[in-house]
Amino acid sequence: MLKVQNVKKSFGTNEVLKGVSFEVDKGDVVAVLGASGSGKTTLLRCLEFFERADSGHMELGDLSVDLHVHSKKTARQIRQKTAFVFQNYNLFENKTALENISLGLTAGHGLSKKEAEKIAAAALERVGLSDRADYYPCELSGGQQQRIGIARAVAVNPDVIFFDEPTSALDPELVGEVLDTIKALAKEGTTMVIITHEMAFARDVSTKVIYMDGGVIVEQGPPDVIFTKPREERTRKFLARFIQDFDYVI
Amino acid sequence: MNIDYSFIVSALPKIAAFLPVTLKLTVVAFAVAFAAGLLMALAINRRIKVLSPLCRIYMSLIRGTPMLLQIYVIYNLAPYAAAAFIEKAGLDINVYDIDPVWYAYIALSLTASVSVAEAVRAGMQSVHQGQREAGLSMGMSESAVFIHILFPQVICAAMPVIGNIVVDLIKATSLAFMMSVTEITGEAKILGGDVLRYFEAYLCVFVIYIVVIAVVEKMMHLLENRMSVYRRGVHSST
Ligand SMILES: Nc1ncnc2c1ncn2[C@@H]1O[C@H](COP(=O)(O)OP(=O)(O)OP(=O)(O)O)[C@@H](O)[C@H]1O
Ligand SMILES: [Mg+2]
Repeated sequence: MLKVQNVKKSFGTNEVLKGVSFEVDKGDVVAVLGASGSGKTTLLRCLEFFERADSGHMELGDLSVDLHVHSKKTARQIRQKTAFVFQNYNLFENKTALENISLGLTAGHGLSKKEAEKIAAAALERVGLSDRADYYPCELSGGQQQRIGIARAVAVNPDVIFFDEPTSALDPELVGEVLDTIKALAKEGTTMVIITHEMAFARDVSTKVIYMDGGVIVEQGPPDVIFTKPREERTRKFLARFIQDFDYVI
Repeated sequence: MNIDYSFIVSALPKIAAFLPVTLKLTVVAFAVAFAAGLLMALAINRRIKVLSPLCRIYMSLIRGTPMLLQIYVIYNLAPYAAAAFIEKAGLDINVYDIDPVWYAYIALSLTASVSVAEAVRAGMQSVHQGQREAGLSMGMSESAVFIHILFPQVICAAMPVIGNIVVDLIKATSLAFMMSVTEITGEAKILGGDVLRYFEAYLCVFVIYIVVIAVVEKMMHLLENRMSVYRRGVHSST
């Protein structure tokens, strides 16, 4: 359903992505792992057209787009079929929780205000924040803000949702509620690509794991394979650093 | 010093009758300055070719010259240039028929437009740009993102400065008299000059300005409070 081919991106002389390809099927939950600076964020930002890749190709449903040469219109078409959950939530500060969700539906997808509000209310309910509908972001905890961010993404019914470290800006006691929200989406078959450093979460929730290092995908496969018997030495070394975490979580 | 109170009583309403002129000068000049300032801020912010450096040059030019000089150029020199141009173009317009109030609008909006541009640019810097990407990721166009998300926050951040710009403009309208537009200060000068009661006449103007500016400041403050609700929240428990 989502097919990404040979994405390359440099910032000046810093070659951040050196030809990244992967596929996502409908209902997949793909966990993207990798050390800091390995290019994970840059990869997803290229797919959402926040960065212009130097080369690369993307197919999403019946859309086929060159990641370097594309019109504003195609970028917008792709964005209408995808959603992005940010590390820092990036809620619209001048909009209430409900408006944060409905604005994407009205201004982004051309729905009427009434329809949008109905869908937004349902999305709020899904993340358990119906009672916060008229709260502004500044009145919500980080965990609540991120759950609104997720509701906002879900509401547009995208083909795939990209997450960039959705819990890494949160206080430890708030991480759980956000991970639980994402887990619930996974159960319902939502297609997601999630950059995360939460290894236990990645292992429990993902259907596929991608391990990146130095701008390439070193290894990808089902979580039980990657986490228990990775082929590559680099993957093993990376995961070894988290083993203690596992023992603790399990 | 003897103060002619009866003159004050008779002059105050006559001078106040010109308050609409003062207010109209303020409102129109502000509207022009706001639109121009916003466009300049956008042009500079988006680094639009040619336009952006032009705006910068215009801004330092206006900032670097006294308003009195700007008025002199606009009111005394610009018509000559315009007349020469119109003659060359073979148009049948007499520049000297143009209502001087137009010169006043332009002259007053110059400085204000630069201040608005600077206030908006500062406001833009205070708005978290991640929201722009969030809007785009929802399938919104750049302009929809600007209208619904960025612009309201930029203006809210710029409101205190915009309030000052409006107050400065009200005071600057007194210079319109130099362009033979009679507003409250101008009328005071005329009335006071007739009977050589300048002090009393200017005392009237002083009172009117104080009251008008106090009212406008209060209104701007209420507006600012209303616009910034999202920054404080509406639920006192948090
Ligand atoms: N806008 C930019 N301009 C210049 N260099 C950038 C930019 N964005 C990212 N980089 C560089 O690209 C490299 C990869 O960054 P990226 O954010 O993709 O890594 P990451 O895998 O997401 O890391 P982390 O786990 O810390 O989030 C880094 O060396 C970073 O400095
Ligand atoms: Mg990152």
